[in-house]
Amino acid sequence: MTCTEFLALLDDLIDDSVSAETRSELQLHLKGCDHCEVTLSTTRKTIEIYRSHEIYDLPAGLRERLHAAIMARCKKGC
Amino acid sequence: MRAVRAARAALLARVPAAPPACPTVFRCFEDAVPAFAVFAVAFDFVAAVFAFEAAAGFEGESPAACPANGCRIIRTESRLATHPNARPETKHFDAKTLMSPLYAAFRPAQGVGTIRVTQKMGLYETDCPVREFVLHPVRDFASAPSSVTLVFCSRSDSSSTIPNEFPHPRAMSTIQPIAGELEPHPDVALVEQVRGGDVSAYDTLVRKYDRQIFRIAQHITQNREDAEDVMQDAFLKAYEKLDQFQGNSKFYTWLVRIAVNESLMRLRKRRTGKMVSIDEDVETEEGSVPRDLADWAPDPEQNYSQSELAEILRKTIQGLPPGFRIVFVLRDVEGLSTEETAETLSLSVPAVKSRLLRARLQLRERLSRYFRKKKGSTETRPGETGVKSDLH
Repeated sequence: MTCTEFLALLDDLIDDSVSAETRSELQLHLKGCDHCEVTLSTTRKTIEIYRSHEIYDLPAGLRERLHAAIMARCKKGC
Repeated sequence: MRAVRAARAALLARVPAAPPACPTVFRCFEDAVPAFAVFAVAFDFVAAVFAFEAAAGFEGESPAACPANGCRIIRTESRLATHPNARPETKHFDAKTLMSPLYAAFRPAQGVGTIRVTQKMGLYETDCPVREFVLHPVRDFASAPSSVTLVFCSRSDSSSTIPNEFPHPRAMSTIQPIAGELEPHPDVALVEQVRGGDVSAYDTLVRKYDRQIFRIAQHITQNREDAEDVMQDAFLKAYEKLDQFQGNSKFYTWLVRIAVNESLMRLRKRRTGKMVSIDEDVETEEGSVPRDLADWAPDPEQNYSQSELAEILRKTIQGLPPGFRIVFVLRDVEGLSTEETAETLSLSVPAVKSRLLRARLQLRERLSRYFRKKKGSTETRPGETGVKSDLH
């Protein structure tokens, strides 16, 4: 397996949507390729960081204000 | 090419000389598939036939032949393949794709929990429980026709359910079953209550999804005031149009679709009429091939305060082309499935997959500036140390 072929399957590997056989081939490639190993681990970390950190929070005060505005309009039939 | 040849040889080596005698195979399309077929030997209620469109009119003939053989075509996309009222559905694939090494994923395998027809090309995905795939080429690959039709069938008299021993793959875990397939999503009852005049039920729906809608709006508009407006407008529009909600998708994905459209409209206004679409700037080659080989330290975010980290993450994702950014946010941050993301953005599944890969790789490369391991140390090197920046 070449690095290009590995890269084509990177997302499926990350999303755990490869067959056991394909996974074995990917793991075999990883054993001998530092480049792809780093690409895989840091791409996984990238997703994890974005998932676990809310970069656009909705402050409680603003949330209540927006919520009240929405519901007031809904009660009037919009 | 060597890999393709090897994959093809491996595939052919496992092919039986004649169609297998499997009583559990549903052969409703057997006669209509003279060129090549993949029979999915399924448990007692579902079988899949993967067939090259060899004969003219295959698509028209086969569904008609199906009921006579005791099965019916069912809708399967992203959902369990047992819905009694599902519409017929077929998908077309490129033959070249199936000849690629990626197709090796469909080689026979015992205990396969699902038919996985996604892979690189992002073609299809479903949850049919499958015991075994049997590949049966009759003609040489080279003479195979140029397209393929995937048809899923189930017995018309079946009342079976998916066996519990087949866990769904992780990628599917974000998909919630629609009403009537397993158990109704809680939102379905809330939507019905709202339709019946219970406004407080809508209150519950707003509180459930307001944070996500606000985040998505801010990611697209990159402006807090616009995000506030979009959030209000999206919820109000959803309320007004609730009668149009068909229930074919989750309420949440329907709501996200409204919010995405509202966000894009807001951007257009801001740019005084300039067209804004999710196709903007997606032709960039950046991130297609990883360049930065530097590894990151374990937990590299620990080197930054929460506010510093949030700023880094904001700046980094804002630098992505909009078409990549939206796909990444919906798929990886908000947890929509690939199919839901495609539906929400009116993109094809392969387009979503392609954009997602490039978005992930671009973000990874840009974050490397901040998180890479310092040489000779396990510490990360902060962005201020003079490392060349690719942020803009």
